[in-house]
Amino acid sequence: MKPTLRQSMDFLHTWTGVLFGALLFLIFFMGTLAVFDREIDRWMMPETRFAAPPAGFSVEERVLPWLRGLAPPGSTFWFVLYPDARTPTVELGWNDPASGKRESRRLNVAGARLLAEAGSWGGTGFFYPFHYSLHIRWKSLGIWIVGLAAMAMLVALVSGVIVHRKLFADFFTFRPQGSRQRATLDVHNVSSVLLLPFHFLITLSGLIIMFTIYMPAGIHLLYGGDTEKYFDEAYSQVRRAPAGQPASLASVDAMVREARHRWGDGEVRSLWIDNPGDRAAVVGMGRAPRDRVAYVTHTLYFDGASGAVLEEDKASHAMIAQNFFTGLHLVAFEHWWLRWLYFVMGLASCVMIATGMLLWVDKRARRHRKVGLAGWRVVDAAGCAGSLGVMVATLAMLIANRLIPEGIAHRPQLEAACFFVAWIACGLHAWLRTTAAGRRAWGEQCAAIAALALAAPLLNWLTTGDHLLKTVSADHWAVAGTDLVLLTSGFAAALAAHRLYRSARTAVVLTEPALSRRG
Amino acid sequence: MLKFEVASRMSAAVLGGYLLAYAFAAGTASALAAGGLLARSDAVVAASMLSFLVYLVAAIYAFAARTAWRAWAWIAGNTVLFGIGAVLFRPAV
Repeated sequence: MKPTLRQSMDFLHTWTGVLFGALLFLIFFMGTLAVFDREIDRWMMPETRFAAPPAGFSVEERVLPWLRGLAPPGSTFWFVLYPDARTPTVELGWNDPASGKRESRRLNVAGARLLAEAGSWGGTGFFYPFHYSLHIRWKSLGIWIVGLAAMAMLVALVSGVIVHRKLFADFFTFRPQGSRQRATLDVHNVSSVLLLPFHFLITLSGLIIMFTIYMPAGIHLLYGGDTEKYFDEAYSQVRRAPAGQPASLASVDAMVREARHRWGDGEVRSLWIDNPGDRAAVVGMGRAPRDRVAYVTHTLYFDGASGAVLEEDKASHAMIAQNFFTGLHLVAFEHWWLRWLYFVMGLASCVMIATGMLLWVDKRARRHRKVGLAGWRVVDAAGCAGSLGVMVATLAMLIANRLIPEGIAHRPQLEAACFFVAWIACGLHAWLRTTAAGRRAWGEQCAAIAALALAAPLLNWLTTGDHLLKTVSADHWAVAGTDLVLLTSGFAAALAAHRLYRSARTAVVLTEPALSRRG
Repeated sequence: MLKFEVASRMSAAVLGGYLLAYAFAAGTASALAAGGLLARSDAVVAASMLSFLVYLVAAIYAFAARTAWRAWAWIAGNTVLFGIGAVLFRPAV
């Protein structure tokens, strides 16, 4: 007999979930951290805990002299990333023609001093790239794996909705006092259904941001595969070859004034100079998209030598649509309530994914054990290491960040190594502590999370002197907020560990009758 | 479901679905550009954004179709249709 639509969708939902569950949790968890990546930067880079300079400082007097000193002669590209409410530092970048590499340093404009090279990759350098590339750079493989997982997520969402019988009733169904499996099912359904638009749009927009990588069909056909050419047209980019004749730069401050005049309001976010010192120099600048959802920068290009406007990027409707999805995903706008909402919704996605994997195990543990299958143990251990283990690893990295001495060689790499070592340890632990006698791994890793999350703010206090009373009273919410989230997570994990220890003693999952239709 | 049946539907969803989405993006982009409806870069971005939804529909259909054979036929047929469109409207680069 042919399976019904609901049965085939149930099959599809179950297996995409099991195959991609751990990977999706990792991607969503890192994405959730990335919502506050720059606040995590402040926590992990204490040397950047100062107030942002007031807007409107002279880039010509207070920034460009530093670049002239830092960039080697022959450098063809200078870059300035402006500070804003979330980042107090100015980032200076340039290319080094000798090594072919891009270099960068951070500047404290108000204090007129260059910061030492960062001893940490922080939230923007480690957690955020982890989210979209898994740190697998070879042939962009990580980006492709994330893309495949995103498609699996969309498939799981759609098939999950089709499987569902009572979409509306589940809004109001939570039975925490019933069996644990029923409570897990309720949490899975509530977190899925309530936030379905978020789950769907955050995943789809992630794919749309990267469409030139994932779906280069149009570029292949209409641009002969020349992605640069496509970008030039789509963003009205101006690029010029160096003329080979030296020329001094016209007033960059005047160009900034002109840009602000044309934009009507708003501040510069990024500014770059192609061929500095050359007669064919081009100065480009993009507007900070902090007051709108769409990530539209209205980039302006100036002739470096004369200061005349060369080109203005007037985003087309199609580009604004793409920029809207980009902005919806990247949360570049400044709105603290919405930022927290994204954080909470991201956590809800994590809960949905983790409870989905738990359901799979709960439905099968008993039967698998009876017929001697190891499947439940593999998925349960992977689910534990893939969810709680990732949190343990993240916290281990934060702890390492506070304990590894400053100035030591390869400090960022050491921090990252702590992440991966802790994660591997969690994988081994999860496998060894998940046996027919009980599922102890979950409770024990919860306990580890509790210990680490409570220790991290303490270490922050001991190593930097910034305790909560001080950071809250000084309105330093990046550090205070990170500490508060850590403390809250620590207490929640302690509570969860306590409950899991109790249930592990009775090995609930293996004695409870299975609820599933399939068993 | 039988193992072969599952493997066949899975490859129809993952590979067939991507090829269909790719053909859709190429065909739609070139048709939009050739028809003068949109600028070249806009045609590319509009078609590419929609192609992810096409991929999603194809992947779901690969498992929703009554038989794996039917899933393959539908996905392959549409891929060829959009492929023909891409070739027909293809501009000189």
